[in-house]
Amino acid sequence: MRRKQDAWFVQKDPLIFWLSIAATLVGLFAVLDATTSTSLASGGSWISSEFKRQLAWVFVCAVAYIWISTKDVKFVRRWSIPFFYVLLVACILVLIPGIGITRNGASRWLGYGSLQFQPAELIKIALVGFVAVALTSKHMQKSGRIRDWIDFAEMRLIPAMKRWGPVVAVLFLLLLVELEPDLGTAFILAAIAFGALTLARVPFRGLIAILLVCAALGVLFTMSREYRVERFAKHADRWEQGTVDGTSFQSAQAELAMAYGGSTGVGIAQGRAKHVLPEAHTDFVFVTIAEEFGLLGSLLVVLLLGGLSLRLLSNAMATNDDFVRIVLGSVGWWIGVQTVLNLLMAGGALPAIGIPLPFMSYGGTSLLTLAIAIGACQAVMRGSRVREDAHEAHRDRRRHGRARLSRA
Amino acid sequence: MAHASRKRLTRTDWHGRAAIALVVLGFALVSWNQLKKQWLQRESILSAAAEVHRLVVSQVLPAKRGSIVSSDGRVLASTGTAYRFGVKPGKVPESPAFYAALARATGIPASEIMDRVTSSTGVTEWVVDLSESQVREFQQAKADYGADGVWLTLAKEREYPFRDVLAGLLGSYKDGKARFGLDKGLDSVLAGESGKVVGMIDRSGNFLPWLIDERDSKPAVNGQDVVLTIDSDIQRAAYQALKRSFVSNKAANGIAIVMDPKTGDLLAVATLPSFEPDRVDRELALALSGKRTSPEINPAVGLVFEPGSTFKVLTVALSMDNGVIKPGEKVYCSGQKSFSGIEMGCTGSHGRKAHGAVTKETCIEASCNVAAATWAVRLGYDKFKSFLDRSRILEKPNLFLSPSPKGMFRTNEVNKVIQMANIGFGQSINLSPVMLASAFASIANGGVSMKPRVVKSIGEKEQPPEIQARLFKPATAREMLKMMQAVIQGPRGTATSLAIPGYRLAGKTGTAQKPDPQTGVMQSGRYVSSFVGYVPADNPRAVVLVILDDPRGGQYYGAAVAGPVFKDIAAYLLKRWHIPPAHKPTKNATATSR
Repeated sequence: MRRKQDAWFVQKDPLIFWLSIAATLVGLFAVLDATTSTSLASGGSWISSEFKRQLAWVFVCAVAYIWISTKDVKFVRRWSIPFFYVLLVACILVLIPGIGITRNGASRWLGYGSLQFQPAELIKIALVGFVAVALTSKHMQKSGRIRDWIDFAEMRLIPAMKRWGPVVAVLFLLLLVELEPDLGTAFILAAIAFGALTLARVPFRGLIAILLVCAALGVLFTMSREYRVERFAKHADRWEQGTVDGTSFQSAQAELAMAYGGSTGVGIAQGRAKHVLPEAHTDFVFVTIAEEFGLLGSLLVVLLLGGLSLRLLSNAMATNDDFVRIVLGSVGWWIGVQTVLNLLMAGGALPAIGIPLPFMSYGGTSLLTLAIAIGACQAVMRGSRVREDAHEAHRDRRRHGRARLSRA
Repeated sequence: MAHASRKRLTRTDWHGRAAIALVVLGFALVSWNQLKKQWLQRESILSAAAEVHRLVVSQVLPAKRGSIVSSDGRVLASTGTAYRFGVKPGKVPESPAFYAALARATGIPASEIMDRVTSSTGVTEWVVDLSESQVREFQQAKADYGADGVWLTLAKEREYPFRDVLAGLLGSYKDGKARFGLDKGLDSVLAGESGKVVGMIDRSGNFLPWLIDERDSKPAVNGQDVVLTIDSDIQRAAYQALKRSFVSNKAANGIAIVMDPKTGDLLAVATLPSFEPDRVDRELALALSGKRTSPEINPAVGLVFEPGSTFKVLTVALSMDNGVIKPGEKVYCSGQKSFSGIEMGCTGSHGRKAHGAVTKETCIEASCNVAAATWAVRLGYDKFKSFLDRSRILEKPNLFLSPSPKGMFRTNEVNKVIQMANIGFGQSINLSPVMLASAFASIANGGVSMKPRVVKSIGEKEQPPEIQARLFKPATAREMLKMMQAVIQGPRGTATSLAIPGYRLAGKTGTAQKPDPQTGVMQSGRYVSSFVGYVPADNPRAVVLVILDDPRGGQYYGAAVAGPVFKDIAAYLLKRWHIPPAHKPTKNATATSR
């Protein structure tokens, strides 16, 4: 078989690999930059404990990535469903007092001691696989006359359950995550599911219907917490004396950091925002990059993550395998949506609802999820003929073009 | 299957294109947002932040007000250490460690603080006395926990440990403003200069060192400490002695000045009525209704008095210097004498007293108005006027106190004979007590008067003693001191009750009639009782001037009203300075100091 020729560490698409590595390194640096001063102020070393922990996670991620990227599409297909259901159970466990770990009023973590992870974060990649499998499974709808209830079950009920089961599971997941509460993650999960449906070529009118449902859910979730409504309502007035230190504090300070950084930045470690913003190394890690390295630094982040997202999407377009298409496309879509939303919030254009920046925000689970995602993308490309197909298609088009030209 | 997917590939992939288009649109939006905020709208965002003071913050660094210290090293006025510690529930972290830190810093039990925070919704304040390190500890805890809901403010801005004993001199500093007294007069050196930090702060409000604007920031310059010539123990003794007489004689104002004649240093300036520094507003209100002298006025420099008979010391000494009194001359005193048609008597209202043949010694010892007036008239206006100019005793006293009015002497008097006759025994001239004391002090300093000095040094800078004027010949001064001993120890002395057995003291009594401030006519029953004394009589170390204005307790003679104050102060000084007795106390005299 051809895939035997690949050495285990040879990447199917090196560009994706290197963009991910670059983004991770930029993130490591930004986490260190944003936490050094706090660490020094509290009597620690300039190498902050957050940085050390993140670095440790990078090694865990490397192992996970290497392991999964040597697998193939069959492996991904086989394990997607169980992986999803295990994590769905974990998402339920998180909500049970005494099992889930609560911090700052949110129960998001499972684990013990310093070994903790967020199931809702990890389920993002499981969701991609789950939806991809669900959308590419063939549901045989037997036609024929229904004579008894067994016929009805076989011909109507079971296919219906197979078709609608995943939808129910996804909606249930969204509800669970929102109950943590974690609106940001719920939103990203919904976006992933929606992206997967789009890539599975669900008719546009169906997509619009789903979009409306999602929008309704989004409004409902937002309205359910007063502070969220207030953040949206007051966003335009974020520089008013009454809101600048309260509701709009994060947005105003983030926006200020952008302006303060200017086009070339204030210089490495010279930033101000990281001393002011409470989440400088997590959701607002971009602020430090933008402030210290200016517009150039911001555009570098856009280039890295935008490039990665679009590369995955274009790879998805080039494949003829629907499962691979959905996995690659959904991961690309997910990274794109999450990056865009985080950057708009960190840039002060949207009120903050807690969405981390892929690869860069502090947080081990988020990084591990992405490592598995990128690894899985490499794996699914291994089992199918993604690049080859693309080349064939390319050649095809060129040949047709030439033929047309010669004919003309 | 393969056929189907090939069919799909050839079809336009609208779904994929839409996803890619959305992502591209998203990243375009992000890029546009960054371009706008980091470049195009940069200035307007920065100015919006500046408008609400969220970018560059400026903070005033208050200067520490200088202390006022006595010559014996006691703090007389200083910035306080009592703080008001306040808590506002809802804006403090609910961490037990935070309350423990607060308890450590303030000495208030953590449970009490926590109680107030959880049980009430309003602000709670405690008054606590804190050391500088405790204040630092508090600020550290506040910064560590980012607690906006706790604060410390100075409870009392200025502390005056000697309270009413020195209030008249030190004055008052309240509500960030020097109100009066030395605290106001020396405000420019005590206040210092507040500084400013301009820069950017972190979330707990601390300035980020590398984001401080060095051009606009400047450190606070603390106020300088001022050392006074006042000796706190002598001051307390003088104040207590004065207060006894002031209360029992129901006087309107009381002044006791203790001056070092060699330097002009004021060792004590006790004045009454006094006040508690923290209740000054009540006293101001009383003063407005006319019930007392305003605390803004220090009577030792802020009021002028006709000195009365004590002034004879100057008249006689001046007459001696000018050869007006012939050696061994005797003036006959029948109890009264007519000057230019106006009858002037010896101690007019309190029983005419004929002194008979009066020498200059008797004139001082028995306080003869007739003789003093005779010699003053003989001295003449011009010589006296030139003495006043030379001596500078009509000038404003320069003790950093206001008001400090000049002395008053009429130069436009038509009948200069009557004027000089009156001046002979200390009427028709108004002097501020401090300037009068400096003139008297010249007798104890070989005829040279020193400028009254109350500020010894400002910061590191010494304010050296200055000569005010040479008033009398040294021989005259020596002789005059001897003559004044007779007032206390002579057979006809007016103040023999003030003698302290074993010690030689000198002095002169004074009982001036008070003219009506409107008409200038002498009022019956209103007097200014005074006494000037020297401790000890040989080579005096202190000149003591005691004035009790308008005693209404029945007694008004200088010897009876002001004299005892002198005696108490003298007794204290003798003990304080371990001055040995000049001779053994006579057997029949009891050794009392009161």
